[in-house]
Amino acid sequence: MQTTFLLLLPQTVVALQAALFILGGTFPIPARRWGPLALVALLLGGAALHYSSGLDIAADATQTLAVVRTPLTVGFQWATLVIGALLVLLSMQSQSASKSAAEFYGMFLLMLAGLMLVAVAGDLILLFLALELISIPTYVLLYLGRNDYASQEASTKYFLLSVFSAAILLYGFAFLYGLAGTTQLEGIRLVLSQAYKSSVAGTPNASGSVLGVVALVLITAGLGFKMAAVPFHFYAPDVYQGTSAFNAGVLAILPKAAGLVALIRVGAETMVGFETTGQQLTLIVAAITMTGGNCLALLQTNVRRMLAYSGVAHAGYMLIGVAVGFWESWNPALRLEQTTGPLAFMGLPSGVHASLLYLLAYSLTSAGLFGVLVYLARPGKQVEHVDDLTGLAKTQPLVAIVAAVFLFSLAGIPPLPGFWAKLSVFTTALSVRQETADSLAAVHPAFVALAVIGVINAAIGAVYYLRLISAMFLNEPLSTARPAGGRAALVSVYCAAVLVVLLGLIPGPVFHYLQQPARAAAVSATPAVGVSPAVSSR
Amino acid sequence: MALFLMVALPGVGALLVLAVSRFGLAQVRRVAITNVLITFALSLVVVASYDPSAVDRTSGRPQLTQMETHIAWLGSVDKDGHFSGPGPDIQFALGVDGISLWLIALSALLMIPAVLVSWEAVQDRAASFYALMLLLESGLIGVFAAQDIILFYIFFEFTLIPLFFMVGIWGGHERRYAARRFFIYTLAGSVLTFLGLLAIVLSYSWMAPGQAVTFSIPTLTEGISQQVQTNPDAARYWAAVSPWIFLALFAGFAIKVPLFPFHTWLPLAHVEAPTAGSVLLAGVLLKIGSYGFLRFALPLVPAACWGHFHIVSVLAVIGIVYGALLALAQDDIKKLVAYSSVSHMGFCLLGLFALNGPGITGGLLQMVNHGLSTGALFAMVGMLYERYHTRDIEAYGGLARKFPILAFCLGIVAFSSIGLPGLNGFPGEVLSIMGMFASNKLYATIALTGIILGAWYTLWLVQRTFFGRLREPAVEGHGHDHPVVTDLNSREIAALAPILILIFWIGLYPEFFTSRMQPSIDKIVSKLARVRPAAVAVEQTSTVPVTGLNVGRNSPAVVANE
Repeated sequence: MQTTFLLLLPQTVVALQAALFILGGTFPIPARRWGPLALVALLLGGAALHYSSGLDIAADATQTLAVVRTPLTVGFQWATLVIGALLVLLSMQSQSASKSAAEFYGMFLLMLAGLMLVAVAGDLILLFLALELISIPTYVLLYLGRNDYASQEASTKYFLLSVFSAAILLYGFAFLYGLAGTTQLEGIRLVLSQAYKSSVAGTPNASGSVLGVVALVLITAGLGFKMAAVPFHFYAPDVYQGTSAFNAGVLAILPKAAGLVALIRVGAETMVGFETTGQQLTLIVAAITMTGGNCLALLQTNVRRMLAYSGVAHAGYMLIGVAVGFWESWNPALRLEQTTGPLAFMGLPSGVHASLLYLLAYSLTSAGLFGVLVYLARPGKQVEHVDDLTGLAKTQPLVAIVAAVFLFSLAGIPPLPGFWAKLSVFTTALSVRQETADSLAAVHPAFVALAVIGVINAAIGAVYYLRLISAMFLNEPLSTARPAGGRAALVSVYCAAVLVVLLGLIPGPVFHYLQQPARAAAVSATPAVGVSPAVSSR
Repeated sequence: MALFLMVALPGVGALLVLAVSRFGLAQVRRVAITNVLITFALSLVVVASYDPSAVDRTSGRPQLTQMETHIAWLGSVDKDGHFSGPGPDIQFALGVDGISLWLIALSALLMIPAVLVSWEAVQDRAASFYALMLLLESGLIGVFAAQDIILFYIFFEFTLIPLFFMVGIWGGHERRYAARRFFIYTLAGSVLTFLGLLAIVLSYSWMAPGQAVTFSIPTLTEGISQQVQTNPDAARYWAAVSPWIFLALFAGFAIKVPLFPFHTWLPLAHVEAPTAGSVLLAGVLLKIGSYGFLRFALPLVPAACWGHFHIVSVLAVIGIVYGALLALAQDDIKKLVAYSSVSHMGFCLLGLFALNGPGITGGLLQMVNHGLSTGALFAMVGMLYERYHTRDIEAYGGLARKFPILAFCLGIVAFSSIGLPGLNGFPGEVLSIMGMFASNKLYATIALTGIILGAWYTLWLVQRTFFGRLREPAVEGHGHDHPVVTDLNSREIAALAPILILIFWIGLYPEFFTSRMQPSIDKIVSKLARVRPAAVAVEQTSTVPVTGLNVGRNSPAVVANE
């Protein structure tokens, strides 16, 4: 028990500080202090994370706990803290005169704690709590933002749909519990793989598999809302448009990350034996999400709306990796060659790891891009229309260049992180092989089709990113009003840009990091190898 | 080392140009031209030190790829040069062989006119312009020198960015639309090419499961053809998958070339680009497409090349004739030259897809020739435009009297472009068509009409603008003072001189160039010959062996070097 609390120390530290922030809001502390205090809170969270990740805990001890700790979960929490710090910097100027700054940062810290909790949750209940810990502060955050009709519509819409999706998700979790008889994810995995093995041996577990399919569909739907995957994306454009650029950035990053990680945890890693359903489901959702998001983004003239649809499309690319993850989760072809996982031997992240790389690249870039929008806001007027960005290269050359770097990265132009992410995602899709008599007659047509749809979408996506770039660089400025986003926002944007460029030029360490197994190492003693290709098999 | 510097130096130059931009335009220009000249000098070093008959000391096999640089990028390389994790084995690997040698030299050479024609024409934000141009040079040389499949793709895509801004910011009236269209169109094709390249890497890793996965282009080329020859499973697999890989590669490269009917981005981009942009776009960028065919499609999926022989050849022939007819109908000089590019690039592909020694040699030579002559034509159109601010053919007449030097240069380039014997166009076109004649007589015959049409539109253009009664557009009345219109100044002559020298050199002594290409081409030809379908084989043996122009004298067209 004590180990669990030690492992949850970072989350606890951040959440407790969030509570202090909310309490502190009643004291007469100047609003401009809260931003720097939030940074300090994140710093303390980092210290706690450093401490808890250094703890020496036997690998098999974590199996029975409700939390997991692997190098990947630690890395994910670090990334959360870094991106959280970038976002705090972004909001400093706008909160410096706000009456509700303390509540604002309190809620934001709670969301970060929730995301860090999603990363380590090894139990259905804890996972659901973690997801709600992200959702509930979001409602407040959206409401704190602005007080016009559009903003109220946005928060109401998000609230209703989010509650609805949480109910669906919980329903799915209930089915999963009913199927396995435990809420612990590792336990569910073991039960399911036992059932799968006995069904392979000739005693099909029919009722179990129907329940599992229902659970999987419901879970995908509930988490698809968080990721803004088609057809659960309808809220995204309206909400992004109705709220502030900062809130839109938060919505574009945190819930998407939570949804993806939860889907990987519960779906691809836990639901052994449902790889066919999982594959079909995620393949289809990925294809329509990419295509729908990109095609709808083409039609937009409002920048945040465009980025909302672009975020939808990126969720689709991430789902490619999840689909491959399902295939890897229990694949006969793979089991035959345990020693060489499909891509680990190439040194590229494969399956869900490719998704995580994509998530990292997307989150960093989005933090920077929404940061640019925050910075460019004029007093009383946000960046709304694409035309608000025209001629940026003349008025703010450096910001324009940085924004172009973000946009090129999202479009997947090398050598930026977006390119490496797309490289991994498409390679992992192409590397999926069917099990056939012919050892080489390999490629899986559905996954190849998915990769083709993916690259075509990359070209479609470039069209609207390029529209923003050409507005900034190729047109004359319409107004020369100075941006009012503040210096802190600019610092955040530049930090994001430095990180993006570094990740683009030196992606090696991150690739290496993502070679590590997503689950605790001791588990692979069971025959269900292959979730995460053997590390450094060479 | 010289090769690595050629890629790195322009990149450094771009930063330098930006750094000196506060000291004024003169400094910017000086840094730019110095950088370009040094890079060109390095390219001469590369050409001089490339030895086509070099032999690898340890294995005794011919060493065609030379001056290699390997820098581990994502992983690390131990002291023996073996790759050792942890990331993928993507390396910053550069090298030059007979195929890329002249294209690298061409890129470095054409930068000289590109900088010199922008001297006066670009005043607004000049530092950014030169910086982008130098970045483009880095990218172009990188594309041709890359020995790593991912590095190739990175450079391949990277070249789009500087050119997008060059066209979009400094271009003509429709520059924004042209820049976006050019970017999207090329990107749409190249993402499919990207899938094809990934499929090649993955396929090889499946064929040779025991070995480390490689992204190295020479290793993949050799390894796959070896596996296909020795391993029946691999051969069956490759036969099934290579048509798809060919189509994926085709998507990007055909748009880049551009092959009919994918050429629609080209006229707009060429016309709207600033002069330097047009020179580089037509001169070098289009070659990336045909180079891609030569580097990847022909050696890696030779059987699929034979399989798609008719499709590609017919498209090339249509491009030749259709491009020429379109050029004939233009009344804008730049558009005329742009459409003539479609026609001339058709000859390159016609040669390459003859899939035999003379054809490929001709195609490769034609790539260089087209870069020189069309680059020079665009430069001269730019010079005229700078003087009169119109590109309307009707507005000009009898200029030869007023601009004797320009008329002389234009005459030479025009004759080179139509393939007058003694100038560079002749060996390229003749070899291409001879090669195709050996593979398919019908296509070669139709393509011949393209030469006639080419002579027609080119000479007609010269006649209308430079001969007859002197007719000049008004130099007044477009808002700014004008110096007196004079003939080419020394800067402009310096821009054209290196091109003219090469036009004569290639025309008079092509063997200097072809002999350095030959061993590399022979290697590709041997791969193609091995999988040649029987029907074509009969037709080829029935023709007279091609011995003209001494091409292939040093070595038989097909060598059994494997």
